Amino acid sequence: MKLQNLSIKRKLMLITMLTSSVALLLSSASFLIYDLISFRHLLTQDLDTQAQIIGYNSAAAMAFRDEPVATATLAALKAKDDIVAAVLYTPDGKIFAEYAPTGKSAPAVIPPKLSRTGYRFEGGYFDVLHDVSLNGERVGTLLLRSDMREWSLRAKRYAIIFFVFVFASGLFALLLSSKLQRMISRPILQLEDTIRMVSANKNYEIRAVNTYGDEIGRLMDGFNNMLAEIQQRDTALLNANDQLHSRTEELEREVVQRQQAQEELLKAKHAAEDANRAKSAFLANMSHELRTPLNAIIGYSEMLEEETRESGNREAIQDLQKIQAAGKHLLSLINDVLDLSKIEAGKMTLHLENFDVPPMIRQIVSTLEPAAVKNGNVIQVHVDDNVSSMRADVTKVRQILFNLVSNACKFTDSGTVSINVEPVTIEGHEWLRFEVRDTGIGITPTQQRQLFQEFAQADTSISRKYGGTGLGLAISHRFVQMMNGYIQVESEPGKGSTFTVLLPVEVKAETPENPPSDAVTEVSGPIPDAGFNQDTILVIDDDATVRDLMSRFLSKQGFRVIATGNGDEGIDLARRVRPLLITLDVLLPERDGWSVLHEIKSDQELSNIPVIMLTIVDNEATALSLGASDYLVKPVDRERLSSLIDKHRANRSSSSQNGNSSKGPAEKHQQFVPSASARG
Amino acid sequence: MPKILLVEDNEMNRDMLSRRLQRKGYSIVMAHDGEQGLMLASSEHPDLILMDISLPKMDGWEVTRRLKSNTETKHIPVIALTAHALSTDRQKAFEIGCDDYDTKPVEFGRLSEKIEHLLVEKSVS
Amino acid sequence: MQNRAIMTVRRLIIAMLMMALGQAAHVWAQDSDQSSEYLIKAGYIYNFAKLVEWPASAFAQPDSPIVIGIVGTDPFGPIIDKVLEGKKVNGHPFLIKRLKPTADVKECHILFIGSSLGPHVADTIRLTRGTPILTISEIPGFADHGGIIHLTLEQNKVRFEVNVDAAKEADLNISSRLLVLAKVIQQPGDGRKTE
Repeated sequence: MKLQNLSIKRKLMLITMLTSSVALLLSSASFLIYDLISFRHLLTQDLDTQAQIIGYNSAAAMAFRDEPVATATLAALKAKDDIVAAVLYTPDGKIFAEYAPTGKSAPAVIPPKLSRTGYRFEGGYFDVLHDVSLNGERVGTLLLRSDMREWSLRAKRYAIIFFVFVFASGLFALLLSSKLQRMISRPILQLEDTIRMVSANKNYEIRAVNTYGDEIGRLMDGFNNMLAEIQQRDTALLNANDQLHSRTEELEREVVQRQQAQEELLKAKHAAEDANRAKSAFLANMSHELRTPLNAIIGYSEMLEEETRESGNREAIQDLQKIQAAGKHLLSLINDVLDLSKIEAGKMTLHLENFDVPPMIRQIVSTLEPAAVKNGNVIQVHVDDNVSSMRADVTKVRQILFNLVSNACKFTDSGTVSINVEPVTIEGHEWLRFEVRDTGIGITPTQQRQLFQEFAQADTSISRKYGGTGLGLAISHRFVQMMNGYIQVESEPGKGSTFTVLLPVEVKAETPENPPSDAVTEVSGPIPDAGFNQDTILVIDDDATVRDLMSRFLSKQGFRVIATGNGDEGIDLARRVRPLLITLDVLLPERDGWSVLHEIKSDQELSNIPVIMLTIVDNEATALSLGASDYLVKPVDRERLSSLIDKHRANRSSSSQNGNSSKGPAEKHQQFVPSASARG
Repeated sequence: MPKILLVEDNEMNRDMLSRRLQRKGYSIVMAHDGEQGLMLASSEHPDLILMDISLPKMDGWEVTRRLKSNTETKHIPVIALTAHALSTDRQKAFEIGCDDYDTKPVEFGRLSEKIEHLLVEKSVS
Repeated sequence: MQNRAIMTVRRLIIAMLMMALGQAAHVWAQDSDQSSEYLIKAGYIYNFAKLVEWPASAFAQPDSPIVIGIVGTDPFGPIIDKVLEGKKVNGHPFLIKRLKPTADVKECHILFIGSSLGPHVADTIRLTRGTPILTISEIPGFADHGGIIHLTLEQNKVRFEVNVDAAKEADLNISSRLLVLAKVIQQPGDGRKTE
């Protein structure tokens, strides 16, 4: 049975019994032993004394060799029960007189081991040897042998007492310890019970009853604390579980919702795809459906004209020509509308191919010669020798140039339409510049502003007078955009206009949008060098969202937007780009908006660029005192911003116009239309 | 008088084109679909074929392909008339074996030039 | 061969020794037979000296000798000298004097009266009156006459009688230990024997 596994009660009792027994045993044993030893010593002395007396008394007898007397003297030992033998030896060791009550004989010869006087314990007997001397002279040796019966008796008695005592004490100790061990074991057992109950019933509300102040008491307290904590945790756990359940349910519901939403989205997507396909189909069909009858009208009228020419009926010819003209006009309108629809629907795609530029130019020119001649215009063409081929959508390029040249011819009377094509390198990229210049009626600034916007034909009178749909430039503009190029106009009313188209020699499909980053300047496409950039707006704001929103908004207005989140970079860009206008956020990282404003206004090159401060804090007076042109509080009112920008534009153009009449075309008021919008 | 086979499903276009061409001095044979076109090409032996691409049932490409693989008809020059002017269409036209193409709506003058050009070539070869 | 020879020689030697010893013993026994009695008696006298207490005046000094005077026949011969040679009792050595009967016995502590003085024993004893002299003799009836110790031979054993009165008269204290061994004779008043 392993000691460790005994119950506390048993252990305690065992400990108590063991310790008390051992103590008892040791103490009583040592006492008894001591007693026995000293008793023996006593007996020994006694015997010795006896021997001395007997020796003395028998000395004379020994001296006189009086055996009877000697024997008689020895016989006196009868009085002592414990002496079993006494022998008087002659000096030479022979037995002289004997006393042997039990009949046992004494040793005949003095054992050589013993000296004349001494003690010996042997064979259960105690022998004392004593010299018998008379008046100093040894006359013999006396041997007294005792069975030490007194001692044995005593020892036996002691043994009995000892065992009885031990036994009795043991019992008593047992009793006492069994009673007293409860002091320790009871609380432990109670605790054990409590623990068992708690774990059996999983009931953490139970507490151990603690009436003890000792370590066990503390143990119980600790246990109770633990239970309390477990209870708390349990409760918390249950709560958490409940919450979890409800959350799970919520989540499940959400998931169901999401799934539903997803299904709906999927449906919507399918619907959208269907719609898309429908749109494409529609456009394709419409394209065909619209053009077919019109072709018939134009075709027949052409045919009739030919036939009528033969007959010579002038009037009829004119009528037919009118029909033709109307039809052609209608056709071009339809074509333009369809193109724009396609563009709006996002269905207009680029078909890039390599083609030779000079032949295309020639083709256009030859096509438009009649139109030019009709107005008394002369077409001049100059294609630079280094211009050979380009990679672009040939149809679109043709359409663009055709549009420009035809416009030039339309709006010029007895003038010159010159076409210039040359390669340019801007910031390491190869471009082709197509310039269409006329000496026509020119375009007013107001008109210029609206030029590339669809449906904003300068004014209806012009279209009536000059024909055209008003959509051509818008479409051209879009096409140039698609090819990542630039189109701009220079014009002086009454003097003429110059349209410039910049296209990359290698057109690449529209670049994917780059994700914005805070400090990085956001501009799509390369930055052509200074001079082109009047209609750029520089947005300085550390909030990417703001930059994004501003860009979208402003580019929809027709501006090119450069945005940055860093004040220093903003200043640098301003110098390079010379924007029309700067919007500046007051709260910038690293460098505070006011200091940026100050720097801009202190810089000669930049000081006349209007700065609109945008901020969340109302600080108009400070802004204006520092030189801000305007001040807007975020969130920005779009209309206000637009009108502010327009105001500045007008100021700018008027100021530059007023002072610029003598300058060359390069200095003339330019409207540069961004062809690559920051955000589509 | 050169004979031109006009394969065009649209009646008005057919009418216009045929009359104008006739006035130009060509004799015209007309087919209103691909099948008829193939038949007439074999039977009439025209000097040139004007092929509208957007035909019902069998489209103009297919017809042209067949014409060009048929020993009887492959020598006949074919001008494809397509509503699109895409490079892909142009490429397709030449791959299939068209001798030329033009866009619709036809600019009569331009088309006539092309016809003359091909007929001259043919007569020379 | 050699071993057997050695063995035989050994046996021979042992036999011879035994014989010699036997002879010696025999002789010695014979000798002791005769002289042993007086050897014992001499020893007795020595022992008497041990067990008798003389008065302090008997000795001039602590190491004054115990004078043993022998008058009459000296049965001891050199034996007593040999026995008492070098011995002391209580620091007193022995001095043995052989005295003529008429000599002054008063200086003796022990007086041995030889048998030759038998008929005059009483007189001799009378001589010692008043002096602490231990009178010892073999003369029969010695004790009756007032002698203190009478040596007898009973059954081949030396025994002695002690006249305690005489001793008391002589101012000698005789140890009870001695008396135990002796036949005590008391002489009440006029010499009546009591045992």
